[in-house]
Amino acid sequence: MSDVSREQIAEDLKSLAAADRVVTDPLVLKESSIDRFRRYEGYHGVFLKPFPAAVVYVKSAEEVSAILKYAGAHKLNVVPRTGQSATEGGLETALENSIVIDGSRMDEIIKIDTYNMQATVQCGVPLQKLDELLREKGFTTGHSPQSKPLAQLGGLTATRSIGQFSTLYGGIEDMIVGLEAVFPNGQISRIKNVPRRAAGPDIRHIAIGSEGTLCFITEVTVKIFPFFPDNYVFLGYLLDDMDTGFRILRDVMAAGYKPSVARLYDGPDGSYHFSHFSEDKCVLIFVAEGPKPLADATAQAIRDITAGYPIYKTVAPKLIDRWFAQLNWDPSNIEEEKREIMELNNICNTTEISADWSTIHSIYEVCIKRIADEIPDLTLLGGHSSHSYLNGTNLYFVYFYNVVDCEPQEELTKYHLPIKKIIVEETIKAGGSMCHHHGVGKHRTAWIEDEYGSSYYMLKTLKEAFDPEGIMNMGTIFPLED
Amino acid sequence: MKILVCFKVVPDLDAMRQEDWVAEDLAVDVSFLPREWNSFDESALETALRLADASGGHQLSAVSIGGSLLNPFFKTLAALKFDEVFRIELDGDLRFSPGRIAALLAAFIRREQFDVVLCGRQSGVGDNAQTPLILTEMLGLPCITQAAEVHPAPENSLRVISRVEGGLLEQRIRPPCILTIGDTQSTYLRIPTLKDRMQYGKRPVTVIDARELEQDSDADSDAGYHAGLSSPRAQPRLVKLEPVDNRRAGVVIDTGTPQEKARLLYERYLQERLS
Ligand SMILES: Cc1cc2nc3c(=O)[nH]c(=O)nc-3n(C[C@H](O)[C@H](O)[C@H](O)COP(=O)(O)OP(=O)(O)OC[C@H]3O[C@@H](n4cnc5c(N)ncnc54)[C@H](O)[C@@H]3O)c2cc1C
Repeated sequence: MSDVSREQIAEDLKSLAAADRVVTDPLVLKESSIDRFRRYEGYHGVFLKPFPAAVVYVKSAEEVSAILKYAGAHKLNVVPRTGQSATEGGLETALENSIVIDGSRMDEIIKIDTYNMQATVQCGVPLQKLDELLREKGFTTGHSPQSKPLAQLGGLTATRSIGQFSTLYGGIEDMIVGLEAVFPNGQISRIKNVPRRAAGPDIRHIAIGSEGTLCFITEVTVKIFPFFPDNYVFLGYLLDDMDTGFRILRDVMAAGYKPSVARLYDGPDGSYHFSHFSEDKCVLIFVAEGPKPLADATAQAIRDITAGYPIYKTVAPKLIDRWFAQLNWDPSNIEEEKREIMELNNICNTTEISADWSTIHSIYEVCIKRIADEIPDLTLLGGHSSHSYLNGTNLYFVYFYNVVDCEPQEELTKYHLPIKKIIVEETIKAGGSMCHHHGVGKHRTAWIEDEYGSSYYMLKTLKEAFDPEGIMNMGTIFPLED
Repeated sequence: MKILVCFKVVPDLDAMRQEDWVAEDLAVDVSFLPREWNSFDESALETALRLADASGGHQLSAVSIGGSLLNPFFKTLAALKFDEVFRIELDGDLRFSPGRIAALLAAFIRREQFDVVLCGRQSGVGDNAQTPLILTEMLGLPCITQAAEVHPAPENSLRVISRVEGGLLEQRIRPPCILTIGDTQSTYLRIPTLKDRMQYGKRPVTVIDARELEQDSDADSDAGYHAGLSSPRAQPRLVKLEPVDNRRAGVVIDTGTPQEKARLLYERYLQERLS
């Protein structure tokens, strides 16, 4: 329990960061108590989490350090944030009088080094801004999550995010060469940018995926890649069933090819995205890119592999190309979604998992069946695989439901959480991972020990070591103790 | 009451790139674009459902003109418990043919005898805003345009609220009549549950050959006059496509504290506009 009042916290923060960057406007505090996980409640004006004492917009690692030391001294919970596109409750302020540390004004692109193929940026640089700048110079980060117009590099690192072109470029963990982070005791640590190291464990991963529970990330250096927009080859197929799709994906990956995009949609999710051509079939999409000979060879190999399978129809490349251009979400999409939710009382939520090739299809089938049987008022239930690896792939379950006969605060307990529970439990039972790329947030913590098994010891020890006072984004990844 | 909603499914033009608009002989290809309800028609469909919710005993039907690409949309309407769904089978470019569309709909409506016909006021593609008015002319029915709300009223009539310049106009109308739907409060069509899709969504679409209806129109008593309305010569013709420059001038206020920026914004740009 803290020994200072909300008012005092705000006052004290003004001496640690410029006064005009400490915000206590009630509306801002209210909206800073949740993220998109609770957007249905939020849109209806229901805010159930304690409001933070203040939001502070930091400008330097030194300021972050001072604030973390202050929070530690007074046992105040701290919630780091940047782009605020979190979907799993990572930004919920679970404890009274939290301090939200917002890194979005640390938005300097520090260095673009095209000889050593890396770019160094502060945590608040929007990914879209960095990538656009790079593209003007003929390069790209290769990172393209659907939230590219919203998310910033700090949050993207903290959630272990992944983009649509991951099969070629990898997830953020494959892109980050070094970073700077501030720990709860005020320690500012820099991990230098080198091509590889074998000097002990890879400590980048203490920050990558930590979801604000161990440190505040202030700077990252990412790899950059040459950008060849003219060499894209789009391939699309309609299939009768998901099993065929998973087998094709597996063969492409196991044969060693690296298309940038490899996506497989089931019938319902496919019709939602591709109503103009999917004919209720499963949709399989590939994009080959890179230097022309490589892109062309990859595309040809995929054509050869798919030729060995029963294909219902081949899709014209332009259909795929134009669809991609519309995939990302910017603030206008968020606004439009809000209007739809409020007007229709219909909302979409998702849960993403991963598993090896042997189990992915059975996880898909059992989850779809159980959700359809057990959950009321569904209007769409489906899923897609959007990130494939040598040994398996992910599944992104998508579900829309009408919110019927319940108060806004019951939406999660009536629909989203029971669905998540089915998916998480079935996935862990089958040996997969319950989180593929959105992070654990605050609503999958009940299964974190099951997810890790005996290695939970290693994870828990990190938390105990780096955050002994328990101030960093409490309730995220690690369940709150009652 | 027998209520019919005439609707159109349109390509999502937001998904077009600048280069996609450049086409020899103006034949812009939109076949690769996702399809969606024409927005005013979507409002018309929801308005019909709300009218049915508010008072029982109505029979809801929906009709559209086109090919089998429309089928998923009909499935949705069936799942939303529209009693009958009709597709007038006709492939071809009807974007600039409001007269021809109206003639087909008029023949269909005469055949099936509906009491109330709801149409979106215009479609984003073609932008003619003529079909419902020509249809009104052909059927010789009273029409209220720009309806925003439709409610049941005593003696089998309807209370229709429409937007007019400077306010709302409330009128009572006794069917048969045509209502064109403009800006409504709720613009989206409700979404059927998976259970309703399973239970009702498979209801077959009644497919009508456009040629049959065209023969019917020839038998219409004012055939000569109406043929004039729907003849190719009366149709608008696409003669030119030109890009619109959507850029707007902007000023970035980048000095001072947020309070100072807000004051500058107010004093320099908002004050005179607000007063
Ligand atoms: C429409 C939409 C599409 C999405 N698509 C994808 C996708 O394709 N792939 C994907 O991986 N994710 C996706 N997401 C999820 C989300 O965008 C990502 O998790 C993203 O990485 C969050 O970045 P952000 O800057 O918005 O972080 P925030 O939302 O601000 O924070 C996310 C988490 O990171 C922590 N955090 C933020 N900044 C810091 C920091 N500086 N130091 C330490 N911790 C920090 C927060 O405490 C929180 O737990 C999507 C979200 C939306 C809304």
